[in-house]
Amino acid sequence: MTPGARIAIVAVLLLVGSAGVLYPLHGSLGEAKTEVALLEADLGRDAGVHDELMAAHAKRREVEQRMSERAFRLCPNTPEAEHEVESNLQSRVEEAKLQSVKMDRRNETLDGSDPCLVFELLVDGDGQSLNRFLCSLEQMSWVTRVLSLEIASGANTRRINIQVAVMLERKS
Amino acid sequence: MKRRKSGPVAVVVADDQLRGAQAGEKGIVTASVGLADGVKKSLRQLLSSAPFVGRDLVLGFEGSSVLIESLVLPPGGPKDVRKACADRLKGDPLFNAEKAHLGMATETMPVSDGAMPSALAIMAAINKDRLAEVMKACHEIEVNVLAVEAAALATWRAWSGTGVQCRLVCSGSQAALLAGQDDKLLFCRTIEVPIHASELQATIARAAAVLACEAFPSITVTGLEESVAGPLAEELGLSFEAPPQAVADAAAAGLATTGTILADFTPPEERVLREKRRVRKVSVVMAAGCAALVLGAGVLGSQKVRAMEDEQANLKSRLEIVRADKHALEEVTSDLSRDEANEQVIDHARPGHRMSTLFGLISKSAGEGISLETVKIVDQPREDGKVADAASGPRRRMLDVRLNGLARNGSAMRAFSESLLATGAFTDVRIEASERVLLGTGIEGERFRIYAQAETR
Repeated sequence: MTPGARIAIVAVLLLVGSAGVLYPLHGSLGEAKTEVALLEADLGRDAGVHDELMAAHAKRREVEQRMSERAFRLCPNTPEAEHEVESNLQSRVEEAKLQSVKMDRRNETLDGSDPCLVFELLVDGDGQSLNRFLCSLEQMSWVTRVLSLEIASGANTRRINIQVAVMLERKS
Repeated sequence: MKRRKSGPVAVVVADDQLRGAQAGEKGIVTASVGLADGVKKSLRQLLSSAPFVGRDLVLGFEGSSVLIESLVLPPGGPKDVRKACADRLKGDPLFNAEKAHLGMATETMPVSDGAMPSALAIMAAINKDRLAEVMKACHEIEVNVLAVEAAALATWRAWSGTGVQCRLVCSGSQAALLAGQDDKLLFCRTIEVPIHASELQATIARAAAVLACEAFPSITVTGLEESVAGPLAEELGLSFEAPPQAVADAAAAGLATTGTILADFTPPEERVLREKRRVRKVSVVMAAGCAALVLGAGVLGSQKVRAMEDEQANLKSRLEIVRADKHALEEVTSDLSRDEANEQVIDHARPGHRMSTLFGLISKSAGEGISLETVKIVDQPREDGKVADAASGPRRRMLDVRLNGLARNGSAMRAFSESLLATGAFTDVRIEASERVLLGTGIEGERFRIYAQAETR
């Protein structure tokens, strides 16, 4: 074998060896590039998310601001708040000089979509007491609606059945 | 880094000494040592005795281990020049085919006047044992032997000249007479030292005959002492000249000068070794270059990969932030839609009439002669009401009012109903008179029912 051929063989072996050493590096580089490209594409797709979030925050703040400026608000949809409403209602009944006979409470939806807390009050009292109670009810900060008012027959003091709906906040 | 340009170290192997020379950028470096301690040790001493560069050697043999002859070949001779030379040495006790390596160079004499060109051969033989001994020493001290030649033939390269030239070169115990034309050496014969005038004269005549010239106008002499050269020139009737450049040791200088080697005696195994060394050297250089390239590419590639991985990590963290933003956006959007829905509920829940107002209006409208027994007000959606949407608003609701009572007479009853209508809060007021009844005071009255509606939202 001539020296030239030997040198050529050595050159080929070195070339193959170098390729063998560098090929995995080339592979790693390719993988890293692909991964980076995919990540960049993902980021590109979601480029506007932050702005959208800021806009949504701003809009929510506006809504909250408007809500806080209102005279009436919805009752929080929590057991504590419901209990508070019940106590408040009871005290207003007493303040209006009505005799509370019974008070029931149940959760319903008004018009099939708006959650509300319905109180069924059975009280005894005259017309003036009832009017005071109705006025007092309208002064509550929560949004309320008298669903029914039924005055039974009688002399001065009569039995009155009132259904009051207190509108609740939506949970989600 | 600047690489020093130095040729190989020329080593003249004489019978009793080794002489070295190397041509470098700063001129020729020379040295000589005796052979008393053996070839190996002497060679080591020689190489370390002067600032020789590298481990490449060119060996030149002179003395008793070398035989040089010049032959004029018959016409057609060049074809069998090796046979002719071998025949010449047949029977020689020191230089026969078994004991010596044979080398030769053939030259063609330049001719003029249309004469047939004559072929010349310079035959050199080197004793095999001597060559093997020196080569062994070279291997042992790990030097690379690039070429082996007869030192006398190499002296022709010590300096250059033009035209027909004759040179007498003396070195140590041997002298050689060389003749040639321009750069071509055509005749060489060794002469015993001390030089006898008769032998020198015969050799010069032989050289002139070989070169087909009558005589040489002058002879260039080197290595011969003035005390010997002067009388010799006088005796021969020739003029001796010094070479154009001072050459202390023509053989070593010739070996150190690159040029055509007339007869290379490098042993075949040495040639193989030399080729192997060359292949190894080239391979090592290529491997080093390759390794450097691979290392460079590896380092750069690794850096690139690391940079990409850093970028990946950065992008991933950004993506995590974006995902968190997306999640937060979903939550905020959900909260926003809930808040908007709650706001809408508040908007839609605003009643058209307050219950206290309606109750007050009913009480006020029921004047003298009206006694309300039962009152029933029910808040309910209208039958024809449509489902709320953004444009039409909430579903319309209606207060259904039912009043049962007693009236003193029909006119009081009608006045009550008209009064209710007049408030503007009630619509569709209908009166049903059911029966006449006796009131507690003994007065007759009428039992009535009033149906009315009050619109609300």
